[in-house]
Amino acid sequence: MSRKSIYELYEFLPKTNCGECGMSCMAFAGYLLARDLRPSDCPVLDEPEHKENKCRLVEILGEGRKNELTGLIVDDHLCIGCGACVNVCPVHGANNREVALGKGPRAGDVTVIQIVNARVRLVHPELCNRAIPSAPPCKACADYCPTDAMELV
Amino acid sequence: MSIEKFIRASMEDEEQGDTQGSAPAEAFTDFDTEHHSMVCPGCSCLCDDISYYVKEGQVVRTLNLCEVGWKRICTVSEEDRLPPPSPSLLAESLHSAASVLRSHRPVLVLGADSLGESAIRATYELAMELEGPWLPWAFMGLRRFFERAERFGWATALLDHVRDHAESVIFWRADPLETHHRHLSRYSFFARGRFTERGNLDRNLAAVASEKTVIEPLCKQFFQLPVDRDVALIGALAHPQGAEGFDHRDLPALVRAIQGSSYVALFLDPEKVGDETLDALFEWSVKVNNEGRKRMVILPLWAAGSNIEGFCRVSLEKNATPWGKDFRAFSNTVRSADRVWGDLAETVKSVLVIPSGIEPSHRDRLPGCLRDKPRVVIDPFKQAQHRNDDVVIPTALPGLESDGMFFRADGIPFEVRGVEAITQQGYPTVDDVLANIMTEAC
Repeated sequence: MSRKSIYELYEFLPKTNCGECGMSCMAFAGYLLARDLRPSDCPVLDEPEHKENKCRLVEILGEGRKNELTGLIVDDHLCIGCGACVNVCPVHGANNREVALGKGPRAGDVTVIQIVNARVRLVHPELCNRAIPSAPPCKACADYCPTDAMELV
Repeated sequence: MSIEKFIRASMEDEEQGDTQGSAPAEAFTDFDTEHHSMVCPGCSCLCDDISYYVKEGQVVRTLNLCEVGWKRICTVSEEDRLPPPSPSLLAESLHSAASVLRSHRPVLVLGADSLGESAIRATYELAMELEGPWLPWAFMGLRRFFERAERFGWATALLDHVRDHAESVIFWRADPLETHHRHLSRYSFFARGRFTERGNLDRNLAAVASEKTVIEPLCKQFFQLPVDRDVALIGALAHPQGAEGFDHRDLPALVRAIQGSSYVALFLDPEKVGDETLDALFEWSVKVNNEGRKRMVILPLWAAGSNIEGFCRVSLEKNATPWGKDFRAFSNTVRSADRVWGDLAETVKSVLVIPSGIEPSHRDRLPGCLRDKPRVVIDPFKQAQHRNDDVVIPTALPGLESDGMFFRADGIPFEVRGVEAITQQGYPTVDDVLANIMTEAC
């Protein structure tokens, strides 16, 4: 995902420092950025005049697009379908020789992610190393995405 | 509804009920038939691992297709496409085209580098009959590159060989993530090879460009330099001990990487580098290869038509040069692009132009000095640059609505069949149009 700044998130907060969340709005923006808090944790954002800002924050943070099992968020506007994520996935490298050699998976192949209509899509999130508690933590797809279209939270 | 809107609507319908993220691909079962396979004609990678699904005669889902190929498929039913001509209109257009070209010889036949091989050959035959030059869009870069290849010797390789062996990969003023999206994952960086079993972990990626590019975050070394500093950088890389007058923070790391590699692959866009740079790169390659301890290959990465390699092959066969059929306008002296186009404009009396590329800005790059010539345009799309007195003949899209032999960037031939599901709407193929013009004009 494109690198967000605290100020970008702060823009959409009420900026009243009411303290209902227990902190100032700037501090809350910091916690949003670190993903320790969510927009729904600010009671003031639920008010009608801030509804649009809340939607915007949800969109920026990819809240509605996060896969709960893996924590993957994909920004379709940035993805160019280059297939790097499919290549570097250690699950694919270990289980599919063709994919390891650079070819895309076939229609019937069991893969974690695939390029569908020129955008990356999660196919079998349950196979991702991040969904397996005992597996080593993995961020290969997001680390090597050249356009920062993928984020793991 | 255009195909792009159809597909986006299908995806939105699919995702509406899923707030957990991307919907699994298997959940999509709403298609008419099983999947088909195709070779993508979007660029010279010619990816042969593409699958697509069909609904109501349109492609609704693709697998492994990048954005370049996706845009190519979407152009099939794009709203700014010219309507298919009726038989009578087509006959009239062909007659007009033949009349224009016959009465305004010599004719410049320009831009056949995105057609199938048979159509490229047809354009050559037409150029011979019409006594004019026969050139691809990138003819100046082609000539400069292949003249050096002939002079210095050219070490090249198949892309699969690069995948298996390359330990250092350098993109010199070429960004595959702009023009050939899957190049890195299929061949040059991420793909695992026989001797590079860990893929990108076994490779050092470096790039040289005038400004920050999309590939920059992936590079271990990135040189943001003006073009006139290229020769100094090449000198520093080729002769590290004697390097003076060139300093860059990434230079020592790249020198170490190259020294530690047994195989170096250098991709460049010859249209973006100067003559001195080309000379220096070829000299460096010769020096490295002659030393015998490592191999260094140079491969062009053209931001041109997807069958530029096919054009080169036909040209080599017919002319013994890969950059087209020169006319007397050319000489061996080095001249600016404007002067070359100007000399061409003084020599020819009309133009048969075949735009290549998908983006509107790429579709008509005819220089100003040629725009006042009578012209025949073989172009499926409406363009603002079309004039009322142009003869414009819309055709089937090569590689998507018609078959053709295309050649990958390294010369491997691929028979590209038209996508089965794309309904033929009555567009003539480029081959048929050229054959008819040939019959009438000659």
